[in-house]
Amino acid sequence: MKNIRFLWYNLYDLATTVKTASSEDADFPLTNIVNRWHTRCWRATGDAAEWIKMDLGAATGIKAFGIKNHNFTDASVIRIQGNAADNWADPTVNVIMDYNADNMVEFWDTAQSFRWWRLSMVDAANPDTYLKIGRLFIGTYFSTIINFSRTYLKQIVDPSTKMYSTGGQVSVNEKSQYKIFRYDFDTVDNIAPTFDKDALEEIFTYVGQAKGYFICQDADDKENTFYYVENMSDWEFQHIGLDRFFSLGIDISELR
Amino acid sequence: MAQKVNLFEIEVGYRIDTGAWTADAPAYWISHSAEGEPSVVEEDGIRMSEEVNLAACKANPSSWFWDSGNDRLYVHTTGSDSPANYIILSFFWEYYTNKQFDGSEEIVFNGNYYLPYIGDSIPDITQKVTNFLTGSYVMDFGTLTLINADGRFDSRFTAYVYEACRAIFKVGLLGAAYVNYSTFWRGWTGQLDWNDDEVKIATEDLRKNIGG
Repeated sequence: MKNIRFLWYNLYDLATTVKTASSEDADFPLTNIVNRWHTRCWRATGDAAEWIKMDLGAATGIKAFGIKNHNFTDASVIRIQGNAADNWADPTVNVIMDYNADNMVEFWDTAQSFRWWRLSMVDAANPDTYLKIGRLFIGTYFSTIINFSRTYLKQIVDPSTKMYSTGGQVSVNEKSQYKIFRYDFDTVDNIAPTFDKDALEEIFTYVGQAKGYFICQDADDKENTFYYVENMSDWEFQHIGLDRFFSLGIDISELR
Repeated sequence: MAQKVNLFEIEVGYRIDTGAWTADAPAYWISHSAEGEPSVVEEDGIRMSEEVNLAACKANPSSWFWDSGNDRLYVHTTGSDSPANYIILSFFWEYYTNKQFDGSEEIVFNGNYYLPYIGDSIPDITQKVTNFLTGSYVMDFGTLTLINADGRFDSRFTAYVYEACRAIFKVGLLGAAYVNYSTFWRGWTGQLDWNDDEVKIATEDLRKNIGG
């Protein structure tokens, strides 16, 4: 098991990142991917050879690339590519992403520093005859030296409401289930090289309760523990000693 | 049992006479890419006729033509002069829902992504007979609340007209085809009341003014 990873500073959303695509349906433009609703998708007009290209403006270290909400089939070939120039004949980074029907993510232990990045998508037998994506993440991640407590909470919430007749027969207003998590970090140290407390403070200062971000609870099971989330409460750093040790509990909810 | 989905469709007016018009005498055109093809165009409150091509628009005062290839709206005013000399409104439909979904369950009909700005409840509705002699009835739909937390409507109220617009409220089940959604209410919007978090749109049944 790997320590939890926070994918919080999304270079894709920056206005300075120039995004282009092989094609786009006029009703579902590429700009939809920046929208915080992952249900609001970009759609290509085809499925056989589509791509989304990102110009970061300068070589930038990348350690994570994620996809939330797509319609790829398990026969698709999805590559994340990185290169020093806008040339894709033989890019330096050319990784086939592991398929997952919901979320897909790729990590690098060492930052890959390139200006140009491209998501290449081939899924010619897709029954929709087009490809779509709701959210993308490109950037790096932060991981604490000491992981959260083993007694973390994962709750599946069903907000459906039920009404009963006098005789006890039930009627249900069904709603979508979602997950909430509580991670308790019993020890957040603030020493070199990662200065975890300062780094976590920087994360919350940036995302607060307003912005969505990604986490990967365990990169060894990345397809099943990669979530698009929001904070449900403030982060309270409780000092526990020696001016450099803190504890922290965070409550987050899966974004729907 | 599938989830219940609400749809709210409103034909919004967009004030365009103050926009950047380009002359193509006797017509003028304006970029209308964000709103797309209008459903109606009005000059000083009077509907202009829609033409099938630019030549027909140029030949007929009080007409408009949608150039879909270039996202341009051509307008030929009654005086064959600049649209800036009139109040010109283009109307187009906006689409809202109370919930959205990933994957194949997304609430998209006819190429329109329904914006999830509706709270989860259906507004109160009452029906009453208004006048014994006319025998007509009206449906009072109450007030519909749209979420404004991200400021969508703050930025739109300067140029867009949400009052006295045609509106339709539909209900259906997740996964149903659009034709299988029931039209719960069809009428007109009334006055607006908005704050940082919500926009309340009063609704009107125009039949209430009939007879009596």
